[in-house]
Formats: sequence, C-alpha cells, structure tokens
Amino acid sequence: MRKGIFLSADIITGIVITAFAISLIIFRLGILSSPSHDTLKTVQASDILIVLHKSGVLGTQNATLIKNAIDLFVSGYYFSVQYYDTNLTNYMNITIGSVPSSYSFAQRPFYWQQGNKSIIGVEELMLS
Amino acid sequence: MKAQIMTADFVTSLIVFAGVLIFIGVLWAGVTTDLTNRKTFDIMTMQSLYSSELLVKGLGNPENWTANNVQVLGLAESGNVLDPNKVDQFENLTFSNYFKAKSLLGLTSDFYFEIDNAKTGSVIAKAPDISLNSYSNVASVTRYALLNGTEVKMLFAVIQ
Repeated sequence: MRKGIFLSADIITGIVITAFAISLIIFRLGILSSPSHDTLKTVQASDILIVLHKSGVLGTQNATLIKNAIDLFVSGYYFSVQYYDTNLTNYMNITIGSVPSSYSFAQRPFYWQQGNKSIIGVEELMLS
Repeated sequence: MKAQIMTADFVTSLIVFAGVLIFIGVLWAGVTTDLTNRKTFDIMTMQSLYSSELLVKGLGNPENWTANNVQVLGLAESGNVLDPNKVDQFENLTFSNYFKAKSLLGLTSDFYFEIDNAKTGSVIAKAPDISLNSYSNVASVTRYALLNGTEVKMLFAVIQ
C-alpha cells in the first residue's frame, strides 16, 4: 500500500500549487509593460513640441491655433506653455486639456523672434 | 506486495501526475512562444524607432547626399524639419536599390516608410510599393515633422 500512495494528495497538491506559482511568475513576466511603448510616446510628444515651435504656432501665443496644431497629431493630451519676456518674467500661460491619469511626458524650452519681440517659453506635453 | 504496485491509487496518481505534467508542458510552451514573439516585436519596434530617428533628425552624410554618394541617411535640414529633396532621394533610392537603403538603415528586417500630410491625409511619399496588411508582424513608429512648412506624419515600419 505504501507504494500505491506514492503520489498522494499532498504531493499532487504540491505539484499543482508549484505549477500555479510558476505560471504566475511567467505570466507576470509576460505582462511587464514593454519599455518601448512609453519610449515611443515620449518621442512623439517631443516631436510635437518641436513642430509647434518650428512651425511658429507657439509664437502666435494663440490657444486655439496651438490646439488645432496639436489635434492634427494626437488626441487625449495635456499641453501647457509658459511665456517669459527677456527679463524672464512670466507674463502668460496657456493650458489645453486635462492631465491624463497615465501619461508619457516631454518638456522643452524654446525661443522665438517675432519682429522686434523675443519670446522665451517652456512647453510641455503629456500624452495618454 | 508485488501485486499491489499497480493499485487503483497508484494508477490514479499516475494519471493525475501525467496530466499535470502535460498541462505544465503545454503552458510552458505557450508562454515561451508568447514571450519570444513579444521580444522579437520589441526589438523590431526599437529598430523602427532608431531608423525613424535617423531619418527625422539626421541630415545625412554628405549633407546634400544623393542616392549615388550617400554614406549615412537622413532626411532633415534641421531636427524634425524635412528636406523635400532628401525625401525624394530616399524614396527613389528605396525603389531603385532597396537593399542599399535597408543596409544604410542598419536593418536586417524589411522596412516601409510613408509620409502623409497631417492636415489632408494625402500621401506625400512612400516606399517600397507594398501593403502592410499583407505582413503578420509589423512594428511601426509614427513621427511628426515639418515638410515645406506643412505638418506631416512619417510612418516607419519594420516588417516580417
């Protein structure tokens, strides 16, 4: 009888639990978020900030034009820009959208010459 | 005692044990395949990113390269501002000498690129002449830039 109970309920339970644990570990490895997704979003956010700057849209200081320009590329975002004069005094802020619960983020300073007026700013974009 | 070695308990245990082993084996094989596919896809995505970065930010070498003398690819006249001549040259190079373009991008897998007008959606350039729908594994990156003062989207995909 002793040989007959070699695979007792205890051992089988142990095997099942071990299998379950291994499965969980592997599954956990599988669902680890890929770093490439966040990287891509950050790169895209950075691209959009550069385009906003170089297209001159930021220089207009017009929230509607800025929003229309961003909407060409993405939806579900939060954008903000702070404008400073040459004395580094913050004289205007523009924000568009609301901060997503989960986001990738890019921020960059910019400089824009408009006639005799120099515009310095910091823009940031959060993409959901 | 020898007659008892194949008792009902033992046979039942053996069947259950074999079942568990098979279950683990199948699970392991499935998960391993998933992880391998995922790793491959991540590598392809990063290759797409690196190649698109080279094209969108890079000026190329020589700076005013042509399909004949290009050593390093790059479509930009400055970061995220594309040079229309370089876009044309790259499109022509991809059509005329695909493997050279692929080699210059440092890719071992095939690639596809397309530049669309962000406002109208019209295609400005694309090469090679394929449909991404016919490939099972496509890792694409969409980049944003200016071309002739217009906002454009550049899709770059590594495909298998």
